[in-house]
Amino acid sequence: MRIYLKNILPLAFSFFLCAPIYAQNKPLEYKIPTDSNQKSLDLKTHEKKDFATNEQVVEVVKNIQDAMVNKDVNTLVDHLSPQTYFNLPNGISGYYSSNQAYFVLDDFLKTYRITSFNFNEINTKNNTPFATGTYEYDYKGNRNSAHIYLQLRNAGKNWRITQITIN
Amino acid sequence: MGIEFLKRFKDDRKYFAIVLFILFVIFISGIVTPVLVEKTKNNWDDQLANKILNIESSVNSIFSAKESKLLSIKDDLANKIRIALNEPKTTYGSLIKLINSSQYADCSIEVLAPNGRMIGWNDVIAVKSEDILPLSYPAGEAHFYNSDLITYLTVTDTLLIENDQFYFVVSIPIEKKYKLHNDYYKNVNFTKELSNKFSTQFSIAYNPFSLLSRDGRRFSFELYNNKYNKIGTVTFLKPSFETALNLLKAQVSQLQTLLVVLCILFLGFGFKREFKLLKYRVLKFLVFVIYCGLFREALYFLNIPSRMLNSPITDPAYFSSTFGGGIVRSPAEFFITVVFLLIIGIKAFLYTRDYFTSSLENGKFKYLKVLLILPLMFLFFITFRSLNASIKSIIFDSTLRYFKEPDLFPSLPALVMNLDTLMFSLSVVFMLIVFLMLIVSVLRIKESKYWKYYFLVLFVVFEVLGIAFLRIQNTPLITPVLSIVIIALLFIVVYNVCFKNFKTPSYNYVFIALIASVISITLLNYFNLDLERESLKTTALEVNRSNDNLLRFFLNETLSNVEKNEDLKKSFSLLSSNFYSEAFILWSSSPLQKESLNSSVTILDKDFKEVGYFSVGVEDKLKYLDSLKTESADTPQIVQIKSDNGQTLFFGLVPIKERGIIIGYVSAAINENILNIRDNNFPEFLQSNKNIINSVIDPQQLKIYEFTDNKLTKIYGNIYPSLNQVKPIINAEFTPDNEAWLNLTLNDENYLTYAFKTQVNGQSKITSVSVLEKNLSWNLFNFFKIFIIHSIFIILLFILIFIAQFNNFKYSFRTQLLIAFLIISIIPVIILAIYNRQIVKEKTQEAILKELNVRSEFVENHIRTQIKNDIEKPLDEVFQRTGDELGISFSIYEGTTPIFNSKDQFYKAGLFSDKLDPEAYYQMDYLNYREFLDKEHLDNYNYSIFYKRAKIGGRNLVISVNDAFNKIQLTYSVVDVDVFLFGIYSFAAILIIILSTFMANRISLPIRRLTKATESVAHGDFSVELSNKERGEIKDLLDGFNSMTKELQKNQIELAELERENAWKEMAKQVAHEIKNPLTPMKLAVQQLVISYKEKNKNFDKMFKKLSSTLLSQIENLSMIATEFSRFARMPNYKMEAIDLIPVIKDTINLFIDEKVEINVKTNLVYAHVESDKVQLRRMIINFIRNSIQAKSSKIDIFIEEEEENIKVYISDNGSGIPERYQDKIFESKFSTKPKGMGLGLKLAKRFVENSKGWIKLVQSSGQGTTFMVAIPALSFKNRKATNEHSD
Repeated sequence: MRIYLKNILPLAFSFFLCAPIYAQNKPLEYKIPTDSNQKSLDLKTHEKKDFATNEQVVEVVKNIQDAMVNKDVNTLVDHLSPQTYFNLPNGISGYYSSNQAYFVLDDFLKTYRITSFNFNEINTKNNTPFATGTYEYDYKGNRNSAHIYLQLRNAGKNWRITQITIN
Repeated sequence: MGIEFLKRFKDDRKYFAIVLFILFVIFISGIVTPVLVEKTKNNWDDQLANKILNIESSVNSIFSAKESKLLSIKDDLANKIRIALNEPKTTYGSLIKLINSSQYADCSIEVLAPNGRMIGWNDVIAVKSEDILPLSYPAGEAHFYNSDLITYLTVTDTLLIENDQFYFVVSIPIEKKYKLHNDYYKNVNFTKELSNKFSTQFSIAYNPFSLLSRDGRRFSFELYNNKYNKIGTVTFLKPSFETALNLLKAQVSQLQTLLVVLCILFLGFGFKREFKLLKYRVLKFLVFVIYCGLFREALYFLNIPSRMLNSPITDPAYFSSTFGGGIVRSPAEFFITVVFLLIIGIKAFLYTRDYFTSSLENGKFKYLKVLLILPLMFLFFITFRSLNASIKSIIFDSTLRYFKEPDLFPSLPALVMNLDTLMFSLSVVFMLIVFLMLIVSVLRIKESKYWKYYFLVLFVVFEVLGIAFLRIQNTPLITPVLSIVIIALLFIVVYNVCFKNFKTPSYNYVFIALIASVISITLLNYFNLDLERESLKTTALEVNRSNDNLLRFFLNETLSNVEKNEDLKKSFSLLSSNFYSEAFILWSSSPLQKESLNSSVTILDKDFKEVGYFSVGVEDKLKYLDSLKTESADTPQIVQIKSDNGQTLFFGLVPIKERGIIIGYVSAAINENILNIRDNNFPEFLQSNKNIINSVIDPQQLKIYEFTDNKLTKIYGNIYPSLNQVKPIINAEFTPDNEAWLNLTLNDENYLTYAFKTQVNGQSKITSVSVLEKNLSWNLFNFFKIFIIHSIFIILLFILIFIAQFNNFKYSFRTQLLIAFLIISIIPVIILAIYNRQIVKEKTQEAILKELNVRSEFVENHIRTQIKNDIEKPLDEVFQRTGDELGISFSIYEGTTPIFNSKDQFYKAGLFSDKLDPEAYYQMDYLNYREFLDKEHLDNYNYSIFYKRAKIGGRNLVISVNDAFNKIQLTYSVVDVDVFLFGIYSFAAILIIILSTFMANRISLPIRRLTKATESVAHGDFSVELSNKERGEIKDLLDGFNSMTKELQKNQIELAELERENAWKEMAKQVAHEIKNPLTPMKLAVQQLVISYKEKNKNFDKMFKKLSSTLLSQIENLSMIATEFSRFARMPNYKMEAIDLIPVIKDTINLFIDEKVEINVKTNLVYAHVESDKVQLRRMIINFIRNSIQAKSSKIDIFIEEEEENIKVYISDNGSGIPERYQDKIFESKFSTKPKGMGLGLKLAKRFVENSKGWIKLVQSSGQGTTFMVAIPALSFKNRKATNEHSD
């Protein structure tokens, strides 16, 4: 026992000493602006616009928005269907199980770092409500923006995401 | 002190020194990093300037490399053409062959005659003929050329041949203006290449008149060619401080990560000695598992290998699962995890096998161990379920379709996943075998005589428990049949490992790998069927996914991006703009291509006149334009229109403005169609990667129905059901999630159906997807598709084991036989496989030729019929009508120029070359061939094209038909045949290896037995006798050997007798001679005494004294002779020396390796030193074993232990035993229970052992077997005793 302690203690001490070094090598976090200039799409269609009337859907969409901004993949995954369609700028395109979706989203949010995110239209006309918005991000030092389309479906008492398209 | 300190780090401890050093480096790097950061911050301006200069020079280097490549191709080609054209025997064909050779496949080559006519070209024509001459740049000078779809780096040069000046143009693509989201697309983008490399935004102007950017955030520099002329401008966003900092931190972090991994590794090595000293195997195994677990977790937290590799195998899109907190988050992470699992599995197997062979005979904890059976069974079934769950996850949590890979050898992610699956199954199978072996060991099945029956009972118990285990689960993952099959396979492995092939571990590994492969593929196949069922759900979701809202969103996205497109705006101001190409570029970069939607993009001038379009699956795209023209057309608009055939069309229009003035319009349209799922109008080379539906199940097998308010509104498939047939769908009971599964009967066949309900615009909509039940079935094709890959890994494993054991490799008779069998069997199999494949390839070519020929005949006949009916009709109209009515993709050429293309827009857009294929031109124009079949390609998309000469309307034309747009469906593709062929042949190869090994063992067995028997004879064992059930020469050989040993034994006895007799004779002669010597003086002395007495000699006293003294000394002599004689008659001395019993015994039992008896040596001792005669000891052991074999034993256990300073060797067998009445006599000489025995064996053994100061006894004997015990004092105690006696 003494031999183990004699050998292990110095090593353990060295490890603890090195831990702070690791902690400081985090990449810089981008600050999400609270007031961002959102340019909403002016969709002039021959159909009447119908804004959010279903509070539950609005609540869910807000949760999703917050989760995206905070990169909270766990919350996002909780809202996914067993099979969710993703169409993302990094080439992800297709249906993914919720197991897979966790890391797909995690990877995506790490690579395409959100600088600004906002849903500016929520339509609850049908039992497949959708929301559209703008997603501004930093990709390898380049700033870009894309539009996001989110579709939900009623699954029992919950609203689940069936589709996330980011163009 | 330093030396003292260093002395502590010897042997394994040196690894601790390395660990300390690494920690020191980590510590230093942690201190240095903030210093570097501060330095960067303070000197950022200088650093930025340096960085910019570096980027500029790097970009110039990269560009120079591309330019050099172009120029070297040009020079190489120039030489070859010069040689070719100077050579009088050179034909035109050889020139075409040269230009079209594979080394120039990636570039475009055009050769012009002195008169400017193009005389040679390859598949890709980069520069239009009219743009070559007059030369826009001096000859030999590289420059950029902007074609409609691609920007090229081009060089034009001249060739002087016999005073004639020829021109040739070589171009390599530098940047594609369009992008397709599929695997056929070859991405060539210089701008993106630089942006990715330098992590900043680049833009390149490929013309010499471009200006440098004045934006302060950007840096511009001019690009020069090989003649130092400006040909373009490169602009990039200046690197930001944050990016530079992040890069620095990432690099340091990467270094530290690697060092930490090395730390953990060397730490493990450092504790190796302590690990070896651990007494109990269970403890050793636990420590090992903990270390592996910690190492794996450390790798995960350090983000290895994802951080190090930038490859598809680290992409979770291919496979990921949240199991274990992310240790299987990608194929690469899964690989690392299964490597650790496999190491743990193999370690567990080795420890268990070790335990299996060396379990204590004294039965300690025997009853305690029985209590372990239930937990072991529980662990077995839990592990079994986890195997099923994991394989299910591999199928369901992956976008890889293992059974639908397009090529024989899968893509890298699929290959890695196949390897992961095999390794994972192997590790789990090892654990399952471990549990079973432990149960077999605890129940002591192997020791029993009726072990076969007990094993069978155990097997039945497990099968029953397996089914019961499935029944108690809420969601059983597999069926009872599958459970029975897998448990049976595991029991076969255990039987093979424990009872049959214990002595050949390498063979066991390959066998276990094969079984693991079969189990994993079976489970993969089973869960893939589940996935196919689930794909009905995905299909229904997909049909409903593209709803109005989404389509509007896409259309809006497309039009918004078009509105901002600067290149489009520029093209309106250029006279020579190709708007068809522009339309294609806009379409390909929009979501319309990414989603593979039936859609179109049309470009209109400011007067609403169409100037270019690209359309797939949208007809009459401009028909609805009027509805948008009348409204204020200066803002983007989208309308939803119901077309005449009931389809829904989304139509949008956006004006293109330059400084507020409208210069043109762009309209886009999307056709919402249930046939979107697999539309035949959509060419394969344009379809995106999404492959959602047809990746799992063939859409042709599906029947899809849509109901709106319970009325059937849309049908996909070839069955039009009646109301009664679809009633079950309408009346189905939907779950709260609006889903329903049911069975539908259509045309008397059973269809598995999934129904999904939604609400759209106040109307209830049901989408049902059905597939024929019998289409969801097991098939051998799927098995072989994966088995081919697994078999390659198993064969690699076999080779690795062979290499690992190469040092022990003996080029024995068995090995020679095995190699011979393998060569004889596998080579013909390989030749046959290659030949069959060649035949299939040729047959496939023939089938394609036939099909294309039929198509060309249809086209030709249709044209001729039209001409016949109306001779005045212009040919253009004739061709157009043929194209519209037949739907076949064809082109008509006159000379090398096309005069008609049925898929005109693709040619106008520039996707396909509009010049006749050079090879076809040569074959048909020069060689006068009537037909020609060729393979062409569009990037990575290969298709067949058939050319046929035809005289139409008095003109010599060439009709070409291809399958680029409607692929020829063969019954079996080349890949399908490859799978069957290679699958079957690889299975056959593995069977051949197994059978060859078995046959080689079987045939060489008598020779090996003979070899060992010969060695036994050499060691003095003449009682060896080989049982002979062979035939032919081997029988004669073995018979000869047996009779030889008998003769030798007889001769040995006779010789011994003779020698003994001679020795006795010699001895007697010698004794007689020696005795005579003293007898003579004795006789004389007595005679003298008698005479003196008779003569009453006065010196009689004196004489008596003297003569009696003589008598006494001669008697003494005689006594000495007798003593010497007695000493000589003793048995010869033993050669006593210190020996270790354990290796001697192990070495001895090797002589019986080919006997039909299993001999085990079990001991807890590391060594067993005694003082004895090695040769006699071997003879004694051989004698015991021989006796046991002759008593019909199948198993002999030799157990060595130390007890009370004695080394005790127990020899137990399971033979017929010694009858009780003989047990007292066995150590007597000349007593034997065998008819031919000499009865000396045990006697000699006893004598030898007693001579070694030990003893021997019969412990027990019965009908179940016999046990002898030999005890010899351990050497260490003897030495101690000798020392003690000495000191006393």
